[in-house]
Amino acid sequence: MAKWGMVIDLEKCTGCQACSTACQMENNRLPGENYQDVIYYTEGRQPTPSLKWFPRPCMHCEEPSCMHVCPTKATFKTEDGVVLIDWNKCIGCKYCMVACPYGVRFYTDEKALLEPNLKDVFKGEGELSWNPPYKGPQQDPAHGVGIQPAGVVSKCTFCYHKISKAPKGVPDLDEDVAELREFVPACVRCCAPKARYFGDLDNPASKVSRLISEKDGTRLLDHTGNKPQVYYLTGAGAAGSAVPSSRSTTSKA
Amino acid sequence: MSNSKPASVNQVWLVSLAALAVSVAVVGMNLMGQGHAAFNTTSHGPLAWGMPVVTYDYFVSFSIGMAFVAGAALVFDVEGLYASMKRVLWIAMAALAGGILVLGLELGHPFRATYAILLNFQTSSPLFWKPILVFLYIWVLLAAYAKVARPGWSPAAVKPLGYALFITGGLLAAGSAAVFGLMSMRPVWYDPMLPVFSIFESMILGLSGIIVAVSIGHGGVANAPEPTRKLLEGLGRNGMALFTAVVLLSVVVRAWGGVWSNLDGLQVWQTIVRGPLFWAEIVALALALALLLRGGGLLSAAVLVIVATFIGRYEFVIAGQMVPLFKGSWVPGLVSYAPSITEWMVAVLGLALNFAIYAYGEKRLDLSAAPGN
Repeated sequence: MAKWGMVIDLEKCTGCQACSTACQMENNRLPGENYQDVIYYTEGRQPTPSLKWFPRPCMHCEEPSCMHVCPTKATFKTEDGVVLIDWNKCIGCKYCMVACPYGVRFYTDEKALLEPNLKDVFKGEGELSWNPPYKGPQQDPAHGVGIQPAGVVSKCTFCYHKISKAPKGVPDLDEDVAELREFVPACVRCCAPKARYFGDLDNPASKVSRLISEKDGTRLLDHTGNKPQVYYLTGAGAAGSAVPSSRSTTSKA
Repeated sequence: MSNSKPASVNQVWLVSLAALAVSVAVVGMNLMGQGHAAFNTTSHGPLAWGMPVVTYDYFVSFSIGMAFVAGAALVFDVEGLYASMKRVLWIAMAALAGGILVLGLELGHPFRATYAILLNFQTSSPLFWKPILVFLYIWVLLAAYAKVARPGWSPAAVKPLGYALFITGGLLAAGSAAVFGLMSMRPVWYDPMLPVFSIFESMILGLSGIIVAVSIGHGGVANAPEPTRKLLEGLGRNGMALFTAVVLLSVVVRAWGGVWSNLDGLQVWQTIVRGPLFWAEIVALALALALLLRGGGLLSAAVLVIVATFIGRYEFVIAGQMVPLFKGSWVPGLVSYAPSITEWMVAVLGLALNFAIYAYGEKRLDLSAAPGN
């Protein structure tokens, strides 16, 4: 069984947010609810500040704190290493949102980030939170895939509706391989500078394994013990370089 | 309705019913119209737990405090509290009822929660254990109340349940604190000693609660039966002063450590100590302590403690979530949050329910029934 993971090369990432857009389209996400965010920030001060950016999908951790705190086992880990949410079990307590150190989870029964609220424009039927004019072909609440119902938490699924149908035993899901293209997560497939790689972390022959080994892949907030399955290539190999170092001590306006 | 009760009971009854009616109307209208969008909690702030969680957690602590008072009276044969035993247990149940109602309004699927938590047996989650502890605690509360509600109840017969109140209350206080204290990814919360602090906080809430309840039930502590009055003015006052000092010291030391540390996440304390709420909490606790030590204003001290601990709980729950996570399109400063009108009214609803149940008990259930009466 594969252990799916992702490698993001920060030296290649241009911050174009094609990954975010692709994810929004694939998973019917609204502004403020992006499974895949690119976070911009500045490092340093005048006269030598620099603008940086940081792409952040769900880390699909080996030891996900979100899963351990979920009181109903709604958050679970598949055999192939993907952390998912069973919307049929989620009670909307939001403990997973509190326990995730990365901020990748969303409870969308909230004030809209932008007006008009598209959930009011395209009202959902039944439990579904909205009814977008374009919908992905999938609705799989047991794996947290599709239109999010009201009262539950959602997150990135590594496009589980795609990768779960991939041929068994392939080391990587590479969009350059025609027969595998349809199984590649949307953010990886649409990454213009090819900064993203997706494959089997347990397979030493996979490209992701080799990149992590050869380029000293690092994990975000590794000290939390969550052991992310998303690795960053920073060029320097230092964990700190992937994290904004200038946290503010004041509230945002 | 009995007319022999002090006017304060009728006032509490009427005010709580009015508050209940208004808050039910506002909360019902807003939640049915907007769902949880009526709350100011947000995924893109992000701040997942706001005022409703603060209120729920506070009411649970308050209830535990009352259970500690009842347990102490039974275990240590504190005869001065026997006449208030029924009242104390009734208030503990009322506070828990208010808390559970507020939690139900906060959860996305409250009815699913009633079975999904137990059936799925996620033993690694503090929120699996907490409902179980709440269930055990309710069972002990009900059993103890059923015993003391019988005419001529015997303290010796209820004593085993006094131990049970201590044990289940203590476990629940610790379990509630663990929900926050085990979160190593939230440095403001992470504290293995948090359950101990939580138990002390429950103790001062319980002592404050009994002082306020006796004041309402008898029209002032001075009008209470002699054994109760002497107990509250003596042991009650001294015990409350001691525990208030411990809580005050804990709050100051925690803030001190937070401001001093450069651990990423603890910079929140620099914002907290610049805010008015933190100082309101400190001043209220210090004032209560001064009143207790100087021998005056027992009721004032109790009210100050009740307000200060609520502020403290609010600061604690919110502060733990103020560090921005990796979300959005620009890394923000610290997350800011203020409860919405609906969230305030949810808190009022819980409080009004507490007081309505309590006042109903005062009017209908003879909460001052002493053993052998």
